[in-house]
Amino acid sequence: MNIQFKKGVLDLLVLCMLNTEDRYGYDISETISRSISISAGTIYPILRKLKEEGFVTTYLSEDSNGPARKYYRITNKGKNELVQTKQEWKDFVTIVAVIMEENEND
Amino acid sequence: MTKKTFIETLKVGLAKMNISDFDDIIRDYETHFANELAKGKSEEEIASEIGDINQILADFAPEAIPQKESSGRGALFTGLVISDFFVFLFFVIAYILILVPIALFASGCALGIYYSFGINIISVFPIMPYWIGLLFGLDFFFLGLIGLSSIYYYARFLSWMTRKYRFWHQSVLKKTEKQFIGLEKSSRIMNKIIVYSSFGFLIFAVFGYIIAAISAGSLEFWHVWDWFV
Repeated sequence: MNIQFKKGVLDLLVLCMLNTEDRYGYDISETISRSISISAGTIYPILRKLKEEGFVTTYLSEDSNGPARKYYRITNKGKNELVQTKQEWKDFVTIVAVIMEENEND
Repeated sequence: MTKKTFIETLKVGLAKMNISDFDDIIRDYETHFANELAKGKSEEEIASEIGDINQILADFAPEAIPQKESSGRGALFTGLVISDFFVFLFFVIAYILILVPIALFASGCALGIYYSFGINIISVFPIMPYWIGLLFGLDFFFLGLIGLSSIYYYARFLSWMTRKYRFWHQSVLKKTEKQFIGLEKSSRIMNKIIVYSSFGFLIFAVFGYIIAAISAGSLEFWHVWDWFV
């Protein structure tokens, strides 16, 4: 898939996943790369960016085996952002579909 | 590249960019390595799957990450409030002005009815022979139509200005891209109405004057009919 397509939507996907439950970075990266081919390191800078923007926070949680995991949790600001971005994405997809259809009919 | 080299390179790169809490970032990559190693992958394999380290560093660069809201935002907000205040006053006046074409429409229609039907009951309005009154009455109807289309054009202009300001306001606040707000095509019926009614108004005004002048036997027929006494 076109890399530019992916880049635009990864923030949205990450926020979507965190809206359901808190997750750690590797978990998010794994889940997304199962359906979308991205290089393994792509998600971490995005998580960092979302944290800088105040859309997520992190906390450490001891795991039964191995080192403490850094969990990401969505903030209220992040939830608002998610609602807005979701709508923007839906509108965007609709517009793209309409334009594509118009041109196919010609 | 081994895990150690990868992590070290990342650390050095992040420190160079003045990112103080690089440990926080490193932790995610440590976990990544740990999980992938548990799957039985080699360190080299994992490092190459993570992707180009220079690309990763570039993604962490401060300019790639929008900074937290700065104090500039307060000034921006104050500016917006002030501009909103004046723009609001402007819009109040602009919206009130729609009464002008409405008044034109209403008075055109009223005078049209008054003269076309030869009502002649209000002494303030000049009295004239019925057939000439009919000509001028029709002329007033055309004036009313001009008023009607002016209401349409002005309302359209108002809605366009309102939308334009609203979008400008949003784009400043959210720092999104400016959007081009075009004025949609005006209705063809309205375009026709304004052209034909303007012609009608002119023709009937001239025609009415000629007939009135002939009928009164004077170019200044209003003196003959004692309008301004």
